[in-house]
Amino acid sequence: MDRFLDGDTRAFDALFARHASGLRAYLQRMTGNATAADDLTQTTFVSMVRGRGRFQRGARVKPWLYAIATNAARDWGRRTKFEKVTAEGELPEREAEPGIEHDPGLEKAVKHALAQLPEAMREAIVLHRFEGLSFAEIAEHAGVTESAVKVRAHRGYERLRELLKGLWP
Amino acid sequence: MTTPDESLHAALGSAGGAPRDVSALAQAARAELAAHPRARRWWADAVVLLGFNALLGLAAAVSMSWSEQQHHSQLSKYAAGLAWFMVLSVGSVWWLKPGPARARWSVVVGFAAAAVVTLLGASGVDGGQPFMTGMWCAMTECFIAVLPVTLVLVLSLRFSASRLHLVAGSLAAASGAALALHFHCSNGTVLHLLVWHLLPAVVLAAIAVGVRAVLRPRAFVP
Repeated sequence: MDRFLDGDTRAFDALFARHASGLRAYLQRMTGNATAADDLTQTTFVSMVRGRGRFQRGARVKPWLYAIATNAARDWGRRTKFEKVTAEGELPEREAEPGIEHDPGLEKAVKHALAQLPEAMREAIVLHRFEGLSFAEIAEHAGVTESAVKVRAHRGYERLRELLKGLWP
Repeated sequence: MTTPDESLHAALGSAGGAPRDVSALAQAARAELAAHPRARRWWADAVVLLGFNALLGLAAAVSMSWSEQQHHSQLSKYAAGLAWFMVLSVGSVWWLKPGPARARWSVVVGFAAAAVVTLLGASGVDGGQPFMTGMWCAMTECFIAVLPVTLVLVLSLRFSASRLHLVAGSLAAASGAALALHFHCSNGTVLHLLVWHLLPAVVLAAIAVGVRAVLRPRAFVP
C-alpha cells in the first residue's frame, strides 16, 4: 500500500488482483445486481486512487477497501433504491455456489429474510460472516464503535431468527 | 440436508454471483492513477482550509470596530476570543482527519464550549437596541462565514463525508465569523448572542448538511 500511495502502478495492479474479485462478489451481495456490482467495483477502485491520501499508513487495506465499497453501494442504493425483493417478494435467483448441497426452499427463505434486514444490519452480517472482517475492522471504517457493530450484527441475527422462525433454531 | 446456518452461508455465497473475469474493471482506476500519480494527503486540504479560515476570521476581527460593551471583563473578552480561535484553527484540521468520529465530536463539543464561555462572559447590556436589529449581526456572520462553509462543502466532496463531518467542518468554518462578531458587537445580552451570533452558525451547518446530501462525492473513501 505504501508503494501505491507513492504512485507505483504495479502496486495498484497487485492490490487489484488481490481484492477485486472479492469486492465484486461483496457488492453483488449488497446490491443484488450484477451490472451494478461491476460499476461499483470500478467506482471503488477509482475512489481508492482518488482518495488514497486519506489512507492512514500502517492501517489494513482490506477493511478500508470494503468501507469504500460499502459507501459506494449505499450511494447507489440511495439513487436507485436497493433491489430488496422481486414482485413475488423474493430476492432474484442467482447462480448456485458449487460444492454445497442446497435446500432450495430453505435458501430461498434465508435470502428473503436477508433482503428484509435493514442495510446496516445486513452490512454487519455480510462483512463479518462472509467477508471475514472483524467487528473492530468494520467499526473502524464505518465511523462507529465496535460495540455498535456488534449490536447491529446481533440484532440482525435476532431478526433473521424471527423471520426464519421454525427453520432456524 | 443443510441446516439453516449452512443455508445462510450458502445464500450469502450464491448472492455474490459466479466468479468472473474482473480485469477490465481496473481501467478507469489505472487512467486516474496515470493522471494523478501523487496522492494528495488529507492534511493538505486541512492546511488550505485552516489558512483561509484563519486569514478571513482574523482579517474580519481586525478590520471591524471593537466594542467593550458585550463583555463583563477583559478576561471574559479574551477567553472567549481565544476559544473561538481554537475552534477555528483546531476544528479546520480535525473535521477532515480520517479515523474515528472522536475528532469530529471534539470540534462540536469545542464549539459548544466556546459558546458557553461567550454566554458566561456576556455583560447583559443591550445598549438600548431593539431585539430585531440583531439581524444585522446574523447577516454579518453569514456574510463572513459563507465562503469558508462553501470551502468545507467543496472539500467534503473528496470523500464520503458523514453529516457529522459537515456539522464539525461548518461550525469550525463559522467560528471565524463568530470571533469577529465577538469583538465587534456591542450587545451583551444572552438572548441576542444566542439568536443572532450562535444560531446562524448552527443554521449554516444544517444548510451545509442539506446541500451535501444532494451532491455526489468524487470518491467514496471514508
